[in-house]
Amino acid sequence: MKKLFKLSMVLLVALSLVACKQNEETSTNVTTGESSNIIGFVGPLEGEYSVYGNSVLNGAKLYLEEYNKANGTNYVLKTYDSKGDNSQAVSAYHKLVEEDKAVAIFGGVTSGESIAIASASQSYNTPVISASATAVDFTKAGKNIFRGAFTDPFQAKVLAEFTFDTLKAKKVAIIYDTGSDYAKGVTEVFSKVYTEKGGNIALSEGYNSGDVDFTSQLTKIKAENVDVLLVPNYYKDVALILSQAKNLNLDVQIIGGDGWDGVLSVASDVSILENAIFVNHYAPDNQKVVDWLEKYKTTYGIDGNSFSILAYDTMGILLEALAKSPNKNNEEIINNLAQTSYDGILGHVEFDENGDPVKDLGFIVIKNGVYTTYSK
Amino acid sequence: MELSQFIMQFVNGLNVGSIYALIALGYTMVYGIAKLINFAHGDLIMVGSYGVFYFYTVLKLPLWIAIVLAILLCVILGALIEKIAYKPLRKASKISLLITAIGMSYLLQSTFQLIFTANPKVFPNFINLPALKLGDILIGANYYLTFLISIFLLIALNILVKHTKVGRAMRAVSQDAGAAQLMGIDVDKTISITFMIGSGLAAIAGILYCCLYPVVSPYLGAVPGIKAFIAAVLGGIGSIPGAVLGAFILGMVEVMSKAYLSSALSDTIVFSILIIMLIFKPSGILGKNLKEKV
Repeated sequence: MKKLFKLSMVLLVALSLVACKQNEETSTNVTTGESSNIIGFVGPLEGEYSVYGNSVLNGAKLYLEEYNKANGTNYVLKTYDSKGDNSQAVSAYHKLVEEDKAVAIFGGVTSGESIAIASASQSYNTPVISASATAVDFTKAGKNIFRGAFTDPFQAKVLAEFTFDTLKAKKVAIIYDTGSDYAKGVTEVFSKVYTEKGGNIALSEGYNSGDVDFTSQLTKIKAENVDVLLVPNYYKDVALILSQAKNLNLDVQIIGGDGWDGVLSVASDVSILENAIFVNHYAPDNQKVVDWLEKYKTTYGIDGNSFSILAYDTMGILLEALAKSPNKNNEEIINNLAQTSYDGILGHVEFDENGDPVKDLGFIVIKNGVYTTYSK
Repeated sequence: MELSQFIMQFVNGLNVGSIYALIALGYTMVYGIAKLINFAHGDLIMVGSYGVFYFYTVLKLPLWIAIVLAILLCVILGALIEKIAYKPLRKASKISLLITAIGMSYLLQSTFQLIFTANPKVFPNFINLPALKLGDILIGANYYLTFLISIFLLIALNILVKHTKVGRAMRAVSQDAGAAQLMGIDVDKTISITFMIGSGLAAIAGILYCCLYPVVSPYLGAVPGIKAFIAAVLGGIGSIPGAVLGAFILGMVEVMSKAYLSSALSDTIVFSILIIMLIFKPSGILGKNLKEKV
């Protein structure tokens, strides 16, 4: 009991110290005043998720520099490394808002840190827009939160409509990773939308994360004679599932979601992917995207990906909203973001009432080992 | 249709079982002789697959040289691990050895992640034999090849242990290392040879595993390693026919529960069987009842 008391006292003192420090900082910074050209960036620039963080940062910077040059503005992207850690992301957010007086936050990059920033931002009502956070909860935090990437339920709904209306499939089987929120989420929404439209989900087979043998489930699916097999998993599992499906001579239309991005790089034999269809942020032979990827490569010397394109477009959305907000106060920027109607590299974007994008998806079909745009 | 589907699932079960058997053989041999549960064994599977990937896909060596080199790599690595990490601890408590083995497993995983990154690599597809056709049932070349190779290795290993001088030494060491030494058997050498054979088996298992599941990553050995370990315990760890029997039972239970019960619950069912088995027959199906085990 005594120990507990001591501990709580220490914590109390520490907390009050932190509180004092924060007060000091805010008070000193009020006098520095106007700096409405600063946009805050938070994302993992080192560590496990740095690939995503740097792709997003590069894409966002590219747009910002082009915009400044074309419009004579002087927006500055102030970057903080979250290292993919939620608490570091939140402290970066506080620094940006309290010290740097950022007008808006561009971040985070991963879903976890973005949710942490979103809830921290509620007391300040800072405009926050993430290019890549896909977790549904992110934009639920408040009216000030927006995102550029489509959500898992959105792509699942589009996939279900596509399967029923375009592929005219009446009977579908699903094989999904029960340990993955992504695969589970897509499966749930797909099943709901597809059965509501009148389709029949003949089999929904789960497997455990880390499983490599799917022959048992695929043998069952084969016996059902379905029209379409949905594989809403990440690319490594997709490659394994499809190669085993081929071994079993399972001859159905196979479809998937954006987790398939990069699947050709892990397929030992590209013929297993022949005619498979998946949705992604963009269609690969879209001329705008091809040109953009070339520009990105000449600027940074590395290949762009869907993260960098999303960041480029999302920065465009944010800067357009800022341009329409002369006073640069939170309310004004948030209102203008909510009324976004933007045409970027990835097509037209508007936001729904949650701040989630309503946009076009790219349908990709794999032909002779190449990603090509799907057309009927 | 029902029957052909059952036969198909049975073939799937045999196939999964033969992979587990190959891995379990190495576990059980090392345990039988060194009384050590070598957790790094699963990771030697990974080393074997990266070996083939590197020698064949990156260095573009001929296939058979790549396979031989990959097996050699595992054999040498297995011997080195034994010399450096396990031998100095032979007199230490079993727990220290076990922890060292787990540490070795992580060391191998992180080393390979450093060298090859965590991005999965594509394993070359080199088995191009025709599939076996039995009525309307099709059995892929990978499947029967894995099955035949594991049966062949089981027989070869049995002959080695029962009918050769090295095998006799192994059996003697496994029964009583102290007495074996007094009879003039080089215990250290025998244990080293056991590790080398076990590691070679792991390499072969790794190559066959990746022919079936052609994606190589640094963590590839973890799950099959654990499953094969369970198979070895189920069959009676230390017993060679026991490991194979346990592996086939495990493979069959896994596939059949996926096919006829619940695909997501198959692991739960497998582990429940293991627990029930251990309650009623702690030494495993073919294991000998000894008073003391780890």
